[in-house]
Amino acid sequence: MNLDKLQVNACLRSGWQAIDLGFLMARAWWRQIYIASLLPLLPLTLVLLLVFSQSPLWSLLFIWWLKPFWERLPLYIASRMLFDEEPGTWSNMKSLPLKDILPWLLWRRFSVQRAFDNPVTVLEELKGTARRERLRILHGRYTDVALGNQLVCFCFELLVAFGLVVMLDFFTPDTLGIRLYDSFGDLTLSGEWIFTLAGIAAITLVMPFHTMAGFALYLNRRIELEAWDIEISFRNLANRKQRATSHRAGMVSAIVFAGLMTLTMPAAVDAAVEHDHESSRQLIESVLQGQDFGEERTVRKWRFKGWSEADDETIPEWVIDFLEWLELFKDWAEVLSNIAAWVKVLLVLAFAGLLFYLFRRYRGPLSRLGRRQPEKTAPEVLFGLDVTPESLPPDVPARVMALWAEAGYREALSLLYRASLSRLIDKYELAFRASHTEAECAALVRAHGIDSLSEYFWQLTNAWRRLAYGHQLPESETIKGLCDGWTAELSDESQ
Amino acid sequence: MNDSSSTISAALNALREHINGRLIGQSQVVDQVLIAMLAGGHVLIEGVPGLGKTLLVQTLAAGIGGKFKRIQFTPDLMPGDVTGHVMFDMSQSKFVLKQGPVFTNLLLADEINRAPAKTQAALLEVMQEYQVTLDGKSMPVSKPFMVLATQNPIEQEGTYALPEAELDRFIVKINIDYPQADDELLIATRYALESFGGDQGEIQQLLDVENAQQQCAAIEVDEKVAEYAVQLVRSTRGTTLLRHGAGPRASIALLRCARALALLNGVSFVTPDDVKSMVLPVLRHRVILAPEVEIDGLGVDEVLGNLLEKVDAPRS
Repeated sequence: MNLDKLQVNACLRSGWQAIDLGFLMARAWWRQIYIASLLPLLPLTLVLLLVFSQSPLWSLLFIWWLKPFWERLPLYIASRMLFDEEPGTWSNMKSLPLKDILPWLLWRRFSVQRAFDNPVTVLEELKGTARRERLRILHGRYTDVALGNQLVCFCFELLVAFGLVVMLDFFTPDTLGIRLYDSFGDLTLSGEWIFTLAGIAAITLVMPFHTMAGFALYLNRRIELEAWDIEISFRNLANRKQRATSHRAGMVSAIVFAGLMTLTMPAAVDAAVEHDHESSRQLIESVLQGQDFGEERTVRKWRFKGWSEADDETIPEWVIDFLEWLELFKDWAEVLSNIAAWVKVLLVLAFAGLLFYLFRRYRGPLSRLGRRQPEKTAPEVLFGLDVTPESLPPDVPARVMALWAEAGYREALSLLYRASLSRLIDKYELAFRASHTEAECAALVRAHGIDSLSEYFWQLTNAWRRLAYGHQLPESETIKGLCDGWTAELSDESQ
Repeated sequence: MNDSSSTISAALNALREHINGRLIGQSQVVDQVLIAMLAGGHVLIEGVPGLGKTLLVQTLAAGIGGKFKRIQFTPDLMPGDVTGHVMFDMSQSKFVLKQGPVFTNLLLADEINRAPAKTQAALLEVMQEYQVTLDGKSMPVSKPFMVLATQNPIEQEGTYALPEAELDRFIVKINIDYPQADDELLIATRYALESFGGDQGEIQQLLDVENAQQQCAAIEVDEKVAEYAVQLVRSTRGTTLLRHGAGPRASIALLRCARALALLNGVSFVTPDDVKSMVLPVLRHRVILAPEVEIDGLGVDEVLGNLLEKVDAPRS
């Protein structure tokens, strides 16, 4: 890390200014950053879309879930470009996305400060306690801004995704017959594809900005903590002084300048002028071990507007009273702490319960998300008729003829029709629906493409309709012919 | 079917063939008009101009040996221009009755929604009661009587939407669309060689409408089929997709049309298929879509199609 090559102006910025800097970085280095994003994203996206071609929303879910994975390479590239360094070899980079990735895809996936915390894992390569300690120092007043960055970028992703969907919907001619929803508001397959592609486009477009904004926040915090701006100022001053001493013409002014600097910042200038590298290091270490270093604290206070510093010295009476009152509960502190811990546990349980309730309440729609068409099972009752194969007599034609001979005309034809439906469902897997009329059932059989079967079923349907709705008895020969037809077309022996 | 039914069926087929021979590529529209006529109802036809609506009515009138009159509805058309009026005859020094164009067999009410509600309402009595009251005196119109009103789905500016009460008087609403490419080629080549509209020449009466209507009323309707028709109509009520469902008059119309369709098909009983086939023409003008469904761009036919899928077909 060579601060002399820092490509951004190292100065103290507010959190939102840092976010702005991140967006500027994303725009300035867009080519490298987008290539770094797309390199791992594109191949996996194609694979996922192929695998989930019938339910492309699953691809979108996977791609969204793997965002911490996609964000690493752009972050690494940006960190190199920040110091005007080469990105490095591929072998350096290829291990990067998988480094400590599991926690980021599990419990840290929903961290609202992901972009801000990411550099600690990816660039500083810290884990466990060291990482926690580091984050404790880095967080502070930037937590809210990091959350803001997450929310803003999430909203932008939604806007871009829905904007693309709406634009496509508006500009797609009706004649193409592409509909996002069917008439009952469920997404069609083409709708799922459009939403998925728009979602992927939105993630790809917004992700670098989000990552760079988080990185800029991290950078800003380091500038603040490690005083990069001061160090760079010192270096610049030293460089200028060295240049000045090398020119005779500027000798006098350099002496005056050095004198001035000696007066204002004696330690820094002396270190640059009078100490060699080793002694400088020792000096720095001794200074760092001094009383003023080694502890960093962030102190926050609430203050009323219009209070002067002097007011801070005077503690209001009511505060003293309140503190004295609190003192009475000193012995209860542990109890109260325990109660608070239990309240916390109860809140977590309540939240988990709420999630469980919501999951149970909406398990239907959730389960439909994954599969567009539930696996069809053969109906047992259709049109009020039992159409299971078990409900049929072993020899249907014989039973039909027996019923016909006993003058059970309606029962006989009803049995033959029911048996035919049962066989068509069981043998040819025809998907009859309860709303289908007789002619619609016959049309389905015709669409199956077996002419002889279609012809037979049409004759049976006509005979059935005449009897059922016209109360016209068919001839016995007709029934005999229909029974023979059943044996030929629908019995177990038929082809 | 008995002999009489067979004769009527043959006559109907002849009439159908005759009309289809002149109005090319609109056989479904022709069937639905014939069904409405057999069911004793009136027809609302919606389609862009120039699809042969006048030709259809003229040909039908000739085929049934009836009279045909046409009213072009305009914003300044008065009720008296439709039904007729009483005027003072100076030469005879007495009031004489001037019958309006409704005194006919087939009345083509062209672009009915261009006239204001008052004029549209002048048709209510004659459509429902088959009579016209003029100067306090009721006069029946000749039978058969049938109104074929047309609407243009585009150019809605300056139109007056038909009130629900009047829409309900139409037994079917038929959507007439452009013919297929082959049919259009045939129309273009045929009529380009003739004077516009063609010449029907002398057409003998092909169908006794009153007799056919009586025969239609005798078509058998099984109880299960009637229940199915009522369930289909009732399914339009209480659904969030529709702001207003169809009333009991729709059930009556649906069964009458199903009977007519059975007669047209030469069958002496009504099947659930007949009922289901007539659902869209009978119901599409009797229901009102919910605003959100309309915003979603769904049409009445689409919503009715979805509702049809939710009603179990009977197996008697």
